[in-house]
Amino acid sequence: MNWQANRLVSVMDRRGWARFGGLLALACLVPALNLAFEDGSVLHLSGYTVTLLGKYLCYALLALSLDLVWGYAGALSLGHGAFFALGGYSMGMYLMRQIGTRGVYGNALLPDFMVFLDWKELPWYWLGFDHFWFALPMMMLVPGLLALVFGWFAFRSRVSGVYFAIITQAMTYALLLAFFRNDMGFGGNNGMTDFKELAGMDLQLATTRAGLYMASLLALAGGYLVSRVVVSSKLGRVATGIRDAESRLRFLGYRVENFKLFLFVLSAMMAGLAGALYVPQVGIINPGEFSPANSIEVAIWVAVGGRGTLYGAIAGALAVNGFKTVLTGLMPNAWLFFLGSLFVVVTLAMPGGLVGVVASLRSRREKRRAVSRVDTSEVAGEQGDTQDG
Amino acid sequence: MVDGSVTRGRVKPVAAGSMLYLDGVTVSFDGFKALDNLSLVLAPGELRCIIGPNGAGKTTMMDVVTGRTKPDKGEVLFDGGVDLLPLDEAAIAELGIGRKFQAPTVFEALSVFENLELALRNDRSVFATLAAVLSTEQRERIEEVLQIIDLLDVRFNEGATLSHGQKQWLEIGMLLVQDQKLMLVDEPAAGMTTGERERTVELLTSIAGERTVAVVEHDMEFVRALASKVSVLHEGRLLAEGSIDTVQSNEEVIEVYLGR
Repeated sequence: MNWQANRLVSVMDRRGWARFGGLLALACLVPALNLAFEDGSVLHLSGYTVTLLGKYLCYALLALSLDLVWGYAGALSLGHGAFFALGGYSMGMYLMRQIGTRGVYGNALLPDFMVFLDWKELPWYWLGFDHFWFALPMMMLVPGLLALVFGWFAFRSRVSGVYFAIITQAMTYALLLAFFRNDMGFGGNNGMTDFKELAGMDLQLATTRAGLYMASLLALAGGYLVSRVVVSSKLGRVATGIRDAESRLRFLGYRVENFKLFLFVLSAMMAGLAGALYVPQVGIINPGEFSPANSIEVAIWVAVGGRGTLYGAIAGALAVNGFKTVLTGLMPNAWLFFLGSLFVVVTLAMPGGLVGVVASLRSRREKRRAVSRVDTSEVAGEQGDTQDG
Repeated sequence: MVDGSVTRGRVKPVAAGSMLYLDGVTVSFDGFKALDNLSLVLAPGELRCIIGPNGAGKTTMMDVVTGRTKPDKGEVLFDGGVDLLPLDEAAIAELGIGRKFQAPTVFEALSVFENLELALRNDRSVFATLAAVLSTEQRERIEEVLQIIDLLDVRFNEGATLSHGQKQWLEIGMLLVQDQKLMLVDEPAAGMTTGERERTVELLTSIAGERTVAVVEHDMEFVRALASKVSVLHEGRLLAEGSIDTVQSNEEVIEVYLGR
């Protein structure tokens, strides 16, 4: 239907689409500069940089997914790292199966860690992960299912605010402990690593790395557009209503819990996809990804960038992680102190985040321009105009 | 299903012909009886004022009707006999009961127009909301209501920028586009100027007739201007009922309002 196409176009104004396209093109330069120029050329971008930036894009998608539930519906989830990790584990399981007989034990039937534990057959929940067509939907369905069950109970019981934040922390912590156990069948403490190839492509090849970067970029762009469609629909306005006056919305006849659940599941699926793209780029997945601190860090990215704008979350994730890379290189021990103080400063001094600061600078500049325009007209003797300023 | 005319909820014949029927409703919070065996009947199309000193149970009564508070005892029936007690807020709102709160609560981050859009009678399910597009008639209806509540000029401004009186009207406007059978209006005139009050009286009187309106108010002048039947609540019970003059000359009412 035509109106659906119109609707997609109308989620952003002309300037918004121009920026979106411009940034997308700019981001495409990264793998292009890596592949088109030889090592040693001034324009060459190292493979390390491509993978590093690809990782950032996954973080940005994770931050975007959190902004959807936190920035719009006001539900602060401090467990989004769990959805990211579940997506990552789904990808990890597929990559493990691709190793085949090339493991240390050369066992065609079982991954190395299962041979080591003296297991005889593959657990049922590993079945199907040999196939990419099966693993790919699982990367989103597994975190989505967890969000569905967890959210259904939480939202139906009207758990909100700080209580919701706490139980989501507990959720990711519980998963951390569970995934640490060897008998869970996910590699325990060590997790999964030594991946060889993805859908037949060697993970060490520069082209594969560039491909993973592009896949992350497309996932981020797609996630952004899907989120834009959602927040610019009436459902987005309902979400804003939930954030600001939840009970008022109930008396208008909206089942608030269903709306929260929809956004929570959608968000978890996006976080899962981000985790799935992250794992082949870093080459490992282990229970550390479930660490409660990881989820808190995601909330800091979103807060630093600015909540409730979508692009703010992306900017926050890129800025904080870029800074993290630089700072941990210079002063490895200072990072956590810096992150903590960053959160305090942002919360106290710039509640709108980076996006809020830019917006207020711009409106101040426009006001100044308007005032100077009024001044000149005053010289001309038009006193009535001053009221417009 | 006694007469089969209503399809949702249990139907009780005692309330036939009424819009709202409360019988023996008791609500207690930690031993304090906010409502004590309250009975109250509203006829369809009626405009009713509910008055009473602080703590008389006016707001609790509205909480019970809209599903926020479940009573310990009693019956609450709507529109000829639909039992409201097993239903939650959203289901009750869907049946046709709207509410304006004491402190005006509009959606501050949304524009006036968007506030009305959310209130508009429509499919409230998640996917219908995701796909919702305003039809021409709906847009016209919102603009019509914007005119009635005198907010047409500020329709694209955020709710947060409105004055107190404008917020009150926006809430009344939200009730109008919701197209409810019964409207519970808690202190509509609070914080309004004299001119705004007069318009609010006009507005409420014009709404009644097609819809049933129950107004909770403290301001006696305002109640007098509405010229409707008055129910006086005191300590969770119905103290007196009748025209404002009868009620004001009632010995008990005088005692409650002026102290002993």
